Amino acid sequence: MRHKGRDMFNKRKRAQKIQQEFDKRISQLNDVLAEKTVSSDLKENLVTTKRLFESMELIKYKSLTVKGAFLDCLLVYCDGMVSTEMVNQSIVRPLMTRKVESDRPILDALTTQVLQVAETTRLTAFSDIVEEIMSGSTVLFVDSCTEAVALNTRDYVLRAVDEPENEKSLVGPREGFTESLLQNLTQIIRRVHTNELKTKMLTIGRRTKTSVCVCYFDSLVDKKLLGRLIDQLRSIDIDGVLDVNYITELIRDNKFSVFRTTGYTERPDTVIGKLLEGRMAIFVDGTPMVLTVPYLFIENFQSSEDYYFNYFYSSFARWIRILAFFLTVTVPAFYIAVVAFHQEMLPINLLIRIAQERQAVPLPASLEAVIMLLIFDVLRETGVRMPSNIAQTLSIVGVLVIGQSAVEANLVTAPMIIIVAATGITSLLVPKLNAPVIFWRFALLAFSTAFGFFGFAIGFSLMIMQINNLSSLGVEQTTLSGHFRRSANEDIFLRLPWFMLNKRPKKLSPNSTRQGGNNDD
Amino acid sequence: MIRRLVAVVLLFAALLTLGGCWNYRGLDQLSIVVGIAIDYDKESRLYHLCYEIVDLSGMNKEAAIQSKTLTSSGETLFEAARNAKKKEADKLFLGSAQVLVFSHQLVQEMGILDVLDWFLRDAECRESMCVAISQEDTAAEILISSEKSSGMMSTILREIIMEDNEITASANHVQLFQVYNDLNTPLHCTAIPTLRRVKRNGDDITELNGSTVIHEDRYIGVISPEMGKYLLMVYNELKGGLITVALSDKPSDLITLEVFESYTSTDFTRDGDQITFNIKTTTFVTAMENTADLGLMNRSNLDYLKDIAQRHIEESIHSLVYYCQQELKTDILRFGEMIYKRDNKFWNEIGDTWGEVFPTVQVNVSSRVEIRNAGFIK
Repeated sequence: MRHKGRDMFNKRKRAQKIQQEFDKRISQLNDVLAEKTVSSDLKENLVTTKRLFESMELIKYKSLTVKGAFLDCLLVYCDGMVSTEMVNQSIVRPLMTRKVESDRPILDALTTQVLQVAETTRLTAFSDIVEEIMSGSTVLFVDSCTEAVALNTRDYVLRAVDEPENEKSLVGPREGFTESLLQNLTQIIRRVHTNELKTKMLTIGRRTKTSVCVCYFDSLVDKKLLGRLIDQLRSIDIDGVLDVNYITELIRDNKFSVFRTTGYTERPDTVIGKLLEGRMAIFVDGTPMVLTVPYLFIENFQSSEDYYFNYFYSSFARWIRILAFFLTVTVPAFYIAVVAFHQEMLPINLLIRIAQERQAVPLPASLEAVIMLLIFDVLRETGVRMPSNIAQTLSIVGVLVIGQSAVEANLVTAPMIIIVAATGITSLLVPKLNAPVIFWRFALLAFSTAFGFFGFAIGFSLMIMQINNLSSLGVEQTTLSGHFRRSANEDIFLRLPWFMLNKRPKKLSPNSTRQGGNNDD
Repeated sequence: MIRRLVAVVLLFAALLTLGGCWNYRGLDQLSIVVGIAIDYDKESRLYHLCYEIVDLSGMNKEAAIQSKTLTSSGETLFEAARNAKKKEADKLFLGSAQVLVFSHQLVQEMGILDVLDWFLRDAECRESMCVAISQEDTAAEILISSEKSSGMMSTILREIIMEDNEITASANHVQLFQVYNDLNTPLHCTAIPTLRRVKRNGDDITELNGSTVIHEDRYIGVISPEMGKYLLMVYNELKGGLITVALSDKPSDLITLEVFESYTSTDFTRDGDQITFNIKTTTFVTAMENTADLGLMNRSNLDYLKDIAQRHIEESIHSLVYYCQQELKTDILRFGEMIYKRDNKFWNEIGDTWGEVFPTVQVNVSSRVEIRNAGFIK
C-alpha cells in the first residue's frame, strides 16, 4: 500500500516537473519576441510580427507605399476584429493618395494629416503591439521609424441589447448588458450625466488580458473601500478571466462560505441604483454580468422592481422572499424532526393521517426526504439546461411519474410530496441564494435526522452564525448588534416610499444623505 | 487545525448524549395510543390496562379513523404495561394520548397518586391528557365505544370533558399534571370529572356526572353537576351553561338563562381568628326559555328576574360552600391556595391546621346578573 502511494507521488512529481519545464520554454520563447522593440528596419519588423503570429491565419499584412514620401509601410490587423471599410477608407486610401507635405517627423505628419482615425497610439514594445492587434487595432509600421502606430479600428459583431433572461421585470427599464465592456459602460453613462462618475480601467489575466473597469461615484464612494478593491484586483494573478465569477471568487472575504459576497446583475438600472448607494461596480469585458460590491445580506432579497412598484407591495414582496428563504431551508428538516422524533407535536388527527401514509411506505422518512429533494433538484437542473421545447415533457414526467404514480404505488407519502413541492417553490423565490439554500437544506436535514429538534436548533444556529459572520470588502453583511437606527433600516425589511427614503446605507457611503440635505450631490 | 477538528468532533459527541431519550422512531413503527383506562381488581389483585389504539391497518383514506382496544393485566402497573407490549408488535406511543380514565374502585381502594407518578415518570407521556373517573363497573367500559362507527372514543371523551365549561358547565376539567400538582400542593385535594353511561333512545351515551373529590389520595365524595356549575363559577372558569330559576313553586314557572360571560373575583379579610371570604360574581345572561308568564319587555319584570337570578346564584354558592365545609370537609374551593398565594406569612401560621380552620371560614357572596337580551319571548 505504502509502496503504491510512493509510486503515485513520484509520478505526480514527475508530471509537475515536465509541465514546469514546458511552461518555462514557452514563456522564454514569447518573452524574447515580446521584449523586442520596433526596429527601424521594416523587413525585420515584418519577420518579428510573423514569428509572433505564427500559425495564426487571421492576421493580415498589407504593404504599401506612402504617396509623396516614397516610404514603405506595413499594416497589420486581425481579420474580423476590424472594420474593413474603415481600414480601406480611412487608412489605406489616404496613405496611398494624400501627399505628405511637412517637415515634421513622418509619424507625426501621418497621424496629424493623413490618417483619418481618431484614436492613435504610439507603441514601441512588441508585447503592446500584440495586445493591440488582438483587441482589434490596426498597427502601422513605417520604414525607418522605431515606433509603430496603433489605430483604433475595432469593429466586431456583438449581440444586440436585449432584455436579460434571468432578471425579467414587469415594470421599469428592460435593457440588459451585452458582452462588450464599452457598450455596457455607455449604457451607464447614458443614464448618468455627470462627471462624478469615474471609471478605473485595469487589465486582468496573463493570457486573456481582459479589460476590467471599476465604476463609482466620486462623491459617494468610500475611498478606503475603493483602495482596497483596486489593490485586490491588482493582486489577482490568473491566466484567464471569462466571467465576473472568476473575480468574485478571488476577491471574496469568506472564502469557503456558500453565501454570496458580491452582487451580480445584468441590468444597467440596478447597477446605477447600487452606485447611487455608494457601491462600486466591476465591469468585465466579455460578459454581460456586472459585479457590485460591497454586498449586504439584504440584497439577496431585494430586486430592482422593488423600487418601481408601489412601496407597500414591495415591502410585502420582500417579506415573502425572506420568509421563503427560511421556509425552503427549514421545512424538510422540520418535517423530519416532527415525524421521526417529536410526534407529540402534531395534532392527533394530523398525526394519524401521516402515520397512515407512512404505514405503507418502505423507506424511512428522512431517506425519503433526501431522495425526493434530490429528484427535485435533478428536475430543476434538467429544466435549466434543456431546450425549452422539451420542457413540457419534463413537467409531465415530474408531475405524473413522481407526483402521482409514486404516491399511488406507495413508494412515497403524499405529505412528503407536499413538503418537497413547498420547498421547491419557495426556493425559486430567492434565486440569489440557491447555493446556500441547497447546502443548508441538506445540512439541517442531516442534523434533524440525527438529533431531532435539538439538532435542528444547533444547525439553524450555525447557519445564523455563518450569515452573521459574512462580510464583503470588510463591510459586515448583516447588523445584528447595535442600536436600531432608522437610517439603517429604511430599505431593509420595508421599502419605504421614496419621499421617506432619505439616507444611504451608512456602512457603504460616507455621504449618507440621499435627499433633503445640503451636502447632497 | 487538528485541535479545532477535535473540538468539533467532541461537540458532536456531546450532542449525542444531550439528545437524551430522543431517538429516531419511524411513525410506521408506532402504535398511537389515544386513550388509557385503568382498573384495579380487588380480588385478583391485578391492574387491568385498556389502551385505545388507532387502527391503521384496515384504513382507507375516505373513511373515518377507526380504533381498536388492547387490554392487559399485571400485578403492578408497569407489568401490565409490559404485558401489553407482548400483544402489540409496534411500540406503544403515549405522546398523543387524549384521556386517562380511572375506575372509581381504583380511586377508592388504591389511590391514584402512584399511578399518576408512574405516568409522569414516563418520558414520552402526554402530561396534558384529560383525567376522568368512571362511575361504571370498570374504566374500560367508558373507553370501549358501543358503536364502532363513531371513530375514536377517546377524542370524543376529551371533547366532552374539555368543552363542558362552555356547554353544560357541570365539572371542571383537569389534566394529568394538574391532578398531580393539586394533590401535592398544601391543600392535597382535587376534583376530577366523573363519567357515566346512560341509555338514551336505545344508545349508550357517555356523559359527565359531576366530579369526584379526592383528598390526600383518598376518595372523599362527589360534587353533583348542578353544584359543579357553581364550583366553576367560584373558580372563575364558567364560560357557558344554563341557569334555571323558578319564579314560584309551580313547575311551569321556570325561566332558563344562558350564561354568556361570567366573572368572579374573590378576596379575603381576617379579623382575629375569623377569616371571611368575599365572592363577587358578575354574570351576563340572556333569557332563552320562558315557560313562566313573565313579560320581559317590561322593565320592572326584568329587574324582578334579575333579582331572583342573583339570589339564586348566591344561595347556590352558599350551599356549595356549606357542602364543602360541613360534609366533604375539604377545601375544594381553593380558599387555602388564595391565602397561601396572597398572605404567605399567615398561611405559615394556619396552614398545618387548615383542615380545622376551613369549616369555620365565613363566606359572603354578592352576585350581579346582567340580562343582555330578553329574546323574542313575550
